[in-house]
Amino acid sequence: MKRARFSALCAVLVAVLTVGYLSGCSDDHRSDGITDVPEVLKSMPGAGNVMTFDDMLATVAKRVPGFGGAYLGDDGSLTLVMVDASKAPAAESALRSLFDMQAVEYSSIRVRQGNYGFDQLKGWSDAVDRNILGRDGVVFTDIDERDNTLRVGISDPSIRKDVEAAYRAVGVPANALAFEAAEPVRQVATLQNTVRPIAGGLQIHWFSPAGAGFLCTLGFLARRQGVLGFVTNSHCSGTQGGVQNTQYHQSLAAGIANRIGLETADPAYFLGGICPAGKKCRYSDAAFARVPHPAGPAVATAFGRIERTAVNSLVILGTHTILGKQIPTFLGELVQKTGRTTGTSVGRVNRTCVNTSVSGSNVYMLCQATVPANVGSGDSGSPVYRVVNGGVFSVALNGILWGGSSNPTTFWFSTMDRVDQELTALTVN
Amino acid sequence: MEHMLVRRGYSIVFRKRSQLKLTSVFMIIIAAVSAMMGGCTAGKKHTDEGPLTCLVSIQRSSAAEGAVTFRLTLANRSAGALDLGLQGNPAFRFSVVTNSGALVWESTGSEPVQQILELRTLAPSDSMVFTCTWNRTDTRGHTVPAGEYLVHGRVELDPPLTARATPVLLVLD
Repeated sequence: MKRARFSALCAVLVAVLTVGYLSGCSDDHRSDGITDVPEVLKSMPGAGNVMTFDDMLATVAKRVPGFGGAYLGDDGSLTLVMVDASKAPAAESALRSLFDMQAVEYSSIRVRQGNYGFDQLKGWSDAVDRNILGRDGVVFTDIDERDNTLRVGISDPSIRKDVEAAYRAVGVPANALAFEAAEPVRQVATLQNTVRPIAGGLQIHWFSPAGAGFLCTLGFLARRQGVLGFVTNSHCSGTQGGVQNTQYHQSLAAGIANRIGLETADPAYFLGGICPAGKKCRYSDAAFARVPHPAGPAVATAFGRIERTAVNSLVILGTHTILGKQIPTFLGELVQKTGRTTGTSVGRVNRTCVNTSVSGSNVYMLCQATVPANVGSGDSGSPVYRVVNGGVFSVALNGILWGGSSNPTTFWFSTMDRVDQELTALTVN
Repeated sequence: MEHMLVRRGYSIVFRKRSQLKLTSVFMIIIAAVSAMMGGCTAGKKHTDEGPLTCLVSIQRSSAAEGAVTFRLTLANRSAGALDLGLQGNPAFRFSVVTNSGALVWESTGSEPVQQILELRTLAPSDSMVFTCTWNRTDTRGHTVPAGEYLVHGRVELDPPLTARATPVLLVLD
């Protein structure tokens, strides 16, 4: 069907170009600025006489009543769907007059029984589509040439009855309507784009008290003491340790439009005890921000989800579902992280419970884990997780990335048990 | 008064003896601030320098065995504002190597760097200054002997911009 449509659309373009320009063979410009267009286009409604593929098939059906559609079969034949098979030659002739059939390759012509003319299906579609396509859960509508039906893709089964009622109200018979489950269509987006609903792995933007702007990664959505929000790094806040009411935006600040959260928890770093002299310590580089921001817009959230990309890619392919927390993290465990700068990278945990100084600061991190895998600036806050259930996009959270070092390239992360301990119990799925 | 000579292809900065006392006081202040900040600091200063350049200079304390402060200036020489992405915290790196290229010390060491990305706009003729104090010990904590060394400095920027300074000669007494 797609191949046929593509070919036919190409044919339409060829026809328009041929009739509109080549047949004129003139350098003269018409004073009214209108170029020659086929008569059939002139009769179509809408600005600029834009004619869709469905419009063309409906035109054929008007010329040949009972023409239900046409498509290229798997065997390469051109299949005509006809209410009355005896009119197939007329339908073929009408198709040839409208399309440049030389551009459509087919081996033979077949006729298949249909119930409805394409113009009838198109009429029903036009009457209902504009009312239902804006509804949540309706992904697409289509006039299915192969099945001679109106096909509706829905992502939410609970809306099916309402949608059926809308079609019945304009007289669509039950056998002219088909439903199928469909995933919501998302434009190609990357971790650095503005994406709703928000999920782990996306870019976030915030400002220091001095007004400097920074980029980090949203770790994962969580509920803390019953409040919805997300976890990112403590150092991805106004001041590392303590709450400065940092405002977070996704992907970039644009007034309040992209404001998604407000910092509400970032435990203080402690001195003394196990903490070396001159250092301040914590067990996790984690802070919590509530969502939405009390002075911001409503924010759609994909709770329990992490954006899914290919390794070393930023392009979002879908989401991972968080099944729970991975506690503890074992040496040798295969984990991955997804961050706004380097996307997804994978490696095995090669150190656990390591104490380390942090470059350029007096921060000392206790009991951290490392993974020899790609990392880049802006990945701070990335969720670290392992794939479970045989790799069908289900994961368990191991923690949150905060640092990187070279020779070899390694990322450092705070494990989930310590994040949980310092932010108090989090619900993540 | 500060003089700059070119020697063996590298720039060298030194001060007249009469300036050392004042410099020492200045250095103590910088060192104290640096210690609070973990050894290295980043600041911003307006200059009249033109191009986007990365320049390392050296400020020495009076004590021969004392700390040495490195200063890296990143200036916008273009006519328009530059949007910079400063990679990591800290985004700057200093290193000291021998004349034969052996690494003696580097500011980030082997410690992990926070993977943050700072967005800054550098206006025409504006500059950023980064300083870092070296306590004259090598990567193993041993005091570095007298001799000639090269000081490298760079700022990690989002591509395509780069900021790498011409190495500067450091003579330790």
